[in-house]
Amino acid sequence: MLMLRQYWQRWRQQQRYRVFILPSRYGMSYAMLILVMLLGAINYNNSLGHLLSFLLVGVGHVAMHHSYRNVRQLDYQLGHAEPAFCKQNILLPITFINQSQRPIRQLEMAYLASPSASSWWPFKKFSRYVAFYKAALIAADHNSLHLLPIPTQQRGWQELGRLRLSSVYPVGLLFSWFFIDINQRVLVYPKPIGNKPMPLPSAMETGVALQHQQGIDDFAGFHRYREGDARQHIAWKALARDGVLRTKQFSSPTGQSLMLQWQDVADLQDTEAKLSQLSQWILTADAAGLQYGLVMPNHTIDISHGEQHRHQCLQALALYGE
Amino acid sequence: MASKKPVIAPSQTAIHWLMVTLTIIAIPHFFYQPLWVALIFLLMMGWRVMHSWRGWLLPADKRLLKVLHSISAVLTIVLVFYSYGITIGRDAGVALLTTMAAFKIVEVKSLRDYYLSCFMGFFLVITHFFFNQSIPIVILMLLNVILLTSCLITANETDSSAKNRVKQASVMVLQATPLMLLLFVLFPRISGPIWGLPNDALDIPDSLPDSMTLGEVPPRNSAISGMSDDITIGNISQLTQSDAIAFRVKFENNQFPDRQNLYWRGPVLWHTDGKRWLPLNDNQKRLDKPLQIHVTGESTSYSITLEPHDRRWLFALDFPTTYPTTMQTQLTADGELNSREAIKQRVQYQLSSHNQYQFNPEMDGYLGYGLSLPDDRHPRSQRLARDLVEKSESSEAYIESVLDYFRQQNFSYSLTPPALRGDTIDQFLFETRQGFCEHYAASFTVLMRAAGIPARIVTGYQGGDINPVDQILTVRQRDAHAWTEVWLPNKGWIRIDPTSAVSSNRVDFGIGDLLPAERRSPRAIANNDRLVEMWQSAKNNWDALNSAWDMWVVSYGPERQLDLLKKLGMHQPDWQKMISWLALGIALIFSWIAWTTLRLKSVSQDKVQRIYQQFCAKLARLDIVRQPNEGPEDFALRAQQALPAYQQQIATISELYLHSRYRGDAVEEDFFDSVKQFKPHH
Repeated sequence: MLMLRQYWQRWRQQQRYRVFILPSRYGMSYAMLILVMLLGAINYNNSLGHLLSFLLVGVGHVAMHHSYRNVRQLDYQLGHAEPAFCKQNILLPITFINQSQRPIRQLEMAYLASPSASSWWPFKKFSRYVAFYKAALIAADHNSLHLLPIPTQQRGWQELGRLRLSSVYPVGLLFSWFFIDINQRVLVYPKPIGNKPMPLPSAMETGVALQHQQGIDDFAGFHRYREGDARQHIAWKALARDGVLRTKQFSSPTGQSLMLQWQDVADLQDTEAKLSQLSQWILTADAAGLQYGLVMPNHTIDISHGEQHRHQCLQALALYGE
Repeated sequence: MASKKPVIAPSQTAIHWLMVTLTIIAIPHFFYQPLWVALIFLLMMGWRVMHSWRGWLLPADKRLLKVLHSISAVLTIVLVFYSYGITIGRDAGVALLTTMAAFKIVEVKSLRDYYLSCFMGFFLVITHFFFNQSIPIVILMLLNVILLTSCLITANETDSSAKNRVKQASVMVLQATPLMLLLFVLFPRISGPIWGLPNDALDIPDSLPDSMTLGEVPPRNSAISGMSDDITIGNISQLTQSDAIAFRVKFENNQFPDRQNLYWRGPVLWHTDGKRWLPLNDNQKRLDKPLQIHVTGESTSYSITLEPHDRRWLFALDFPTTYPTTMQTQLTADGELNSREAIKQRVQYQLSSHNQYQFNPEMDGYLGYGLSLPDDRHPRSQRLARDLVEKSESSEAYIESVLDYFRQQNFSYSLTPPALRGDTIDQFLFETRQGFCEHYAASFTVLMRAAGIPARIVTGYQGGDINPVDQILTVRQRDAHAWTEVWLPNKGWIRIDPTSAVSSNRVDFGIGDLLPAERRSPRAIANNDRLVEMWQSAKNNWDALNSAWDMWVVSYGPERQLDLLKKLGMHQPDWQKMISWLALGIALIFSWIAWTTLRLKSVSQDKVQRIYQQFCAKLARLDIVRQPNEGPEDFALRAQQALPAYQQQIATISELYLHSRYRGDAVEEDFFDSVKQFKPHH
């Protein structure tokens, strides 16, 4: 009795999350198939017809366990999502951990598209989950890192709520799933788009300030990976070490400075268009290795450079008006 | 938003798998079905194969092809109705299912179509059992279910190898068998039919005819068939060609009567037009007053498992004195044991018989029928009868003189007698003089009636083979036999088998000895006695297995279930008890499968760990046992001290183990090799 309790508690400890299982559409048809078969077997007094029907019942039952196991044995470690630009995807790093001796296959991730509109129909909510990512295989006793591309909705803070992680493996008759509550909010920068020419940069008065600008000459350290970074600059070794995606940075000692101002985009009607234009200029300036600052109606960011600075500027745009 | 899901197409691999699987499932049906079923099936499969191989268009690709495809499907349905008639029976249903599965395969586009095809495949598997319920077919069923399950897996996953997917499917089907067996035994059986059976639901290969005709014997594989041949097909000699089982007998305490007494009584024939012999009609058969049966001696108890023959006869050892209680039966005025319903499925009944009996010794209401002969027929036979009567002092003496006539004249027993034309009885008695039981029984009966002795023909079976493995006597269609009963005052109906006067072997050793040697064993080994013996013993074992299979699996129904559960110790089994035990069993199986699938890492499948355990086992044999709390390093030290001669080897193995297990170094192979080479002894 004591041993049973120990097993139970060990089992409970493993249960970080609750796995649900229900027959899929095909599972329902499969059940109907068995029922019809059994009726036929009874009608014809066909003993082996009974045998086949019962074998299929058995297969369905075993499939349930296999489907459950496939999802149950999965453990995961969520990373922190980096800010993303609007209309691009937020990349949420997740490490799938399979400590079992069997591979885990065909995982499907879905996010809740529209969280509102409750319905009396019990599983109505399911249809509002949108599948967006598949992991075909997590090998036995292996971990694997995946970047889940979650679509952005609008600029500003985006709450990453609930993910549904499911699988119909092995036979597609049953659907097993569990929920991951991410509880993170990710900053969505305005979409970098616009066709206005960038204001001309002016030479620095002091001439001393600019020493290090991004370039391709000398290795100057790492910054976190962001969309658009060259693949050959990704620090793969560092990724293997701690699962964080980084880009190697290089510096070149030249540059000019630039003040990007709200007035520069005053002729654009739409606020979003203004923000997008500024966002694009920031990226261009950053890529060109310029020093730049940002003047917004409510506050000003001094001229500087670097990743942190870029983030600060884009954040100001993203949160404008909130 | 996004409520409309995109159509998911199954992979090409999955479709190919399904095609192979459906073909394997359909092949057995091609033997029963007309050729066009196979042709349509292969045509459709071929279309899809050409699509994959040469890029031929499918119905979904072009409107014209889609129309063509639909029209051919409709035409096929019309063809099925045309061939089988408007009611969908067994054969028509199977033909329809087989062809429609093939039509479906060509238009599989979405996952939904794919699953529908798989489910049609499952239906095709069950239809096998309407034709054949043997052990090989069940093995084929398992194979088919594994293949179909692997099709379902393939629809969801194509990363792993085909071998891996089949393995996964096999594991699943294997794990499903305990539940299958549990449900098979305990699921409360209902006796069908629920909504009625189509006419062709039964397959009756051969059975005893209800009439008898002497005359031309058509070749067995005659291409002509139809109503007019029905009578001549009712020749018993036809049945000697058939090894199909008529019934099986289990004698109580395995006490077998003598072979000469194994007369299995069936239909009794009275009326004749000189050529054809017919039974009494149902009204005449009805019993007005009870039969007078006086028995002496011991009775024999036995149970008979009768194969379905779609007639009402039940066979019994001559003469049954207790009747089956498990089914409604009646004994007719002429001693036929009949069931109330036609036997449409395998039935088992218990009864007992007396070998020594007197049947209506004082009076019998049908003596008139037993004396009638057609007018102006068999003139030479009538003359022979008159001659013999004149020489005989009594009826008994007359009977004996007729039997002597068969013995002394050059009559012979032949399973392939010359055809008879004209007055068949006269021709047989005076010209051909070659024949089998039918000829002798009929001509003997005519000679009796011509002399004023009431006589009738009894058909049934004689003999049977005892299988030494399970002590079951099997009576096959080839054991069909006909003999005569004559009525003598104060003695009643007496069985006389005129065939035995000609060929005593037929009765003493059974029909088996009279059949050509290749019917008993394959021609290739017929000359080698040892091989024949081995073949015979293998055959006996196989037959015994099939008997058990037929009795316990194929005919497992409501009665058999109660019977088995009683034997297993269930007191007064009913469906509530079955359900309770079923629930308990399901709970156990559920836990077992949950345990095997979700098992924690208690059993290490890690190869490095396994090899290390081998190493520990090798040391354990020398009483150096690793303690549960002992780390590999401590254990190595202790082992080194205990076995100084192997100090170096033990150190190397432990080092390699720690490296490959905990530091992830690629030294596993070295580790495996060094453990393999490690052979310590004191």
